[in-house]
Amino acid sequence: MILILSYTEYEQCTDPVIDWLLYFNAKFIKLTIEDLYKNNNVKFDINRDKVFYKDIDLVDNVNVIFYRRFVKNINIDLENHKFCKQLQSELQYEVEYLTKYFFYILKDKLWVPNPMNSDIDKLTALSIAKECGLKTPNTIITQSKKEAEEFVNKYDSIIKPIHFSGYYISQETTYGIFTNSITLTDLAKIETPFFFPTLLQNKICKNFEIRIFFIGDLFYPTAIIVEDSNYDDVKRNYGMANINWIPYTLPNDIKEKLIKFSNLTKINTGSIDMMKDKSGDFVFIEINPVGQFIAPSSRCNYNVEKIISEFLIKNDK
Amino acid sequence: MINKNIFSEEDLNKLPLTHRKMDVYNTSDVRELYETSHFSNSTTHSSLYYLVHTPCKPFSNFIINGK
Repeated sequence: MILILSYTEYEQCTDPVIDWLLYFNAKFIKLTIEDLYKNNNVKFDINRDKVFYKDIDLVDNVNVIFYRRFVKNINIDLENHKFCKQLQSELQYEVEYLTKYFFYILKDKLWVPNPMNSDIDKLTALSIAKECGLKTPNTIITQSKKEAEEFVNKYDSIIKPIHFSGYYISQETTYGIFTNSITLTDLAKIETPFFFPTLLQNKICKNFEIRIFFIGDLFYPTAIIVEDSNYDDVKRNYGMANINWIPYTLPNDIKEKLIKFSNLTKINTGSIDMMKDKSGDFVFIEINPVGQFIAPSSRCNYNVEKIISEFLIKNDK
Repeated sequence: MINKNIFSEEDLNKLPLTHRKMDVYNTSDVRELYETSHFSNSTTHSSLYYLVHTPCKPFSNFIINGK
């Protein structure tokens, strides 16, 4: 049996895979974090290290696990309680630690991808990519204005979150943080010598970006072509007429290095961002093991969701 | 989209540099904020329903056709 761990609501890369599992008449269950704390559908037998969904023994029946964005903020209605914030935080930890045990019980299954490995940070990913012989951008993390100025003086630079930033929604106005260029003029405006740790990277002088979905040793690269390639963050071009998504073939040596990267990080599926720079070199930017793949999948006719479902069915034994 | 920040200079001095360059949108223009609720008809995915349900076309088609 296939186990899918995802969100209760629509998730753009889970539901299309489910569509194909239905089409192939595959046997599967989808669980969400809510199943662990709300519906009394999931029961643990600690003495035997077993977990049951209704009457189904997941340890005995599940062979392969498709892991999407399972862990999220729990939703318990405590709005009127004076300890609401503390309770919400503590109960969140309770569920997350229960999730750890849930993952431990199922540790011997084939995870696609394994959550223990898939929370890799950008800096570790860059370090391992370099170890695999891939070119990476010069990167620093700094709290110092002086150090930032020295870096920006040396390279055209960008700044981006070390991990992630979501939208800040204030009624009719929404604020977002994307990758941005930073200049000496920007830094001159800063009044203090130190600030919160910030990631600075040299801005790659690129021809185009490449989004590479992979699962096992199957690679599906997409070149994202934008007329003016001097942009900071391609996400700002999504939905515009001047962006083209084109199937792309990676050189064998780059593919081999990415397979080595996948082996070293123990990440068996995900989306890798690379850039081809003006001198023809391929530069590794980052990996997102649970990245969204629908845009390149549909625009390049890769049918990644079908490929994932076939991979799950093939390994369900 | 315009560039603007929502924090005071005093706050910005305590934040990463990234927070000095925030993009600003009309909330109604940020489509991904609404996609999840738009497609939430598919919550039936989280049940044993799928062990017995075998439609002849992808489930998303039902959602698209039902719009």
